[in-house]
Amino acid sequence: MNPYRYLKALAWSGPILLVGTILCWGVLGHNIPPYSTALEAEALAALVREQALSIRIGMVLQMPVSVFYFVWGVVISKVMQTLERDNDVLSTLQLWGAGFTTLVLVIPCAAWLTVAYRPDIMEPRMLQMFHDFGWFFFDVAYSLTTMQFLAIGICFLSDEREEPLVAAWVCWFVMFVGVSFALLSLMPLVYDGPFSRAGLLNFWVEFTLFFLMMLVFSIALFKAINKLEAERHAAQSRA
Amino acid sequence: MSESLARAPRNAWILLLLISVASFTVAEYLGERHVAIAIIMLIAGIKAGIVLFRFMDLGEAPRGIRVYFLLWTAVCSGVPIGLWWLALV
Amino acid sequence: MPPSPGPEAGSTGNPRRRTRTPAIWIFLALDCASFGLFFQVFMVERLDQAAFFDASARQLDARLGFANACILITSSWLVAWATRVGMAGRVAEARRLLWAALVVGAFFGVIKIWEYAEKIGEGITVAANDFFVFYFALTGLHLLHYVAGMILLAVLATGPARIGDTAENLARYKIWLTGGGLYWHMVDLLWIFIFSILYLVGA
Repeated sequence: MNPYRYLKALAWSGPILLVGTILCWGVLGHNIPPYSTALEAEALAALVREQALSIRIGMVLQMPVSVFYFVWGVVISKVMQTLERDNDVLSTLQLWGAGFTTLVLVIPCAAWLTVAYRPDIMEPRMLQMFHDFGWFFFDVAYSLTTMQFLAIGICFLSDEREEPLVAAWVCWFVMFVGVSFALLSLMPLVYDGPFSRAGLLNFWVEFTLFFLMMLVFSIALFKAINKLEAERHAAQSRA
Repeated sequence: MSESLARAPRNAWILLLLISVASFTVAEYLGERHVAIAIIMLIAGIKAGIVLFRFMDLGEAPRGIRVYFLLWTAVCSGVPIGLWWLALV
Repeated sequence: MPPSPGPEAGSTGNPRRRTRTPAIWIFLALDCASFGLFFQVFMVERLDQAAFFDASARQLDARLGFANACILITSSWLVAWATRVGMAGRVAEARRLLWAALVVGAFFGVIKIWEYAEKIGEGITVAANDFFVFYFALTGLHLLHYVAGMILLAVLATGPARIGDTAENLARYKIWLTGGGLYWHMVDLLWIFIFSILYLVGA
């Protein structure tokens, strides 16, 4: 019996999601760099018309890519469960957080797809509305992800091993990224500047942190699975 | 025993309160704004240093963390002075 | 200058403490880095509208910011004292000091809420202008940190009743005490700069 079968293969969903999201959502979807929030409806519509095909391809590809976030979350929960002693509340919170975040990565794509579907005949104000809706869902629903990140950090910090599965600094980093999303709450209040959804703090800093967290924790997860497998082998050869 | 444990942070606390009053007085009453700003921010840096070393025992932290927080304090107190002066030109 | 803290501060032989205590420093470092970035972004945004920012800053009551600075410094001192006493194993005394820190710290929240209410009553909200976006963003984010810190202090002050039971429980309490203390000092540390940059620079 191998409790860790498939885990390492499925853990690749983290890096796949990271690269896929940057390519599909970011580059093809024209979200990196994002359109300025200060754009007039007409100017936004003109840009979308010009880039409609690329946005459509990006969003259509992003939707299947997004599901890897859930796969990744399931693997994280399985690793967390090896640490849980009394109950599985933290891995459950993490799993639901990952599941809901997956929806955050899927549903806004439908909004942006709507925007890029008939931009030549769509009323620019309507187009702007759907575009805004996509961003609000994508950014302001951060608490779903914060819950997931806090559960990860707290669980792995409770590891009593001499050499813990996930290094303590990684746990603190993950929790920091989760908490830092609170800044996104300011996004709906401003139209320009560093706190707008395309601004220095609420776009460049927050998304860099999110992608960095995916990278750092992907590596940490592989290391943790390797460690669990090594422990299992050691236990088997003793037996 | 309790006395000796309390002494180091207590002295730091008194010092912090005194220089807080100094910086508040400078901010409210010193007319030379470009000098006042420099004094305010430098005092903020010194206060941060006292909190870091006397309350948080930064001196016992690993070297990397010590250097990082010293740099952070320098940037947080120094760069705003420069940016304030830059706004004058 | 006062003497540096004695060996009590770092003398537990528990290897887990040595490996874990620095880890919360990572969180503090990142948190401080983001606030440090906000300060610079604020000063850069101020470049083009310095007179306007200063006029807005004068609408703040620097005395309230000053009172809050003194409150946090005092509370921070009580926590530093409690940490030293707690690390020496005198948990009951440490908890009394933590209670004192909580009571003193509570005034910060009262003043902050009062200040917000006053500003909003005058019709100054986050949407008022660029200066007040930063005012509410910086103080609001700091307030969240403060609330988390107060909860942490309350847990440390009341906490699980059986901590004195075993050496293991005491060691674990010391880890939390050190971590919680460091966090609370950071709340103080951040306010020193927020107070200087928002309230004093434009006064």
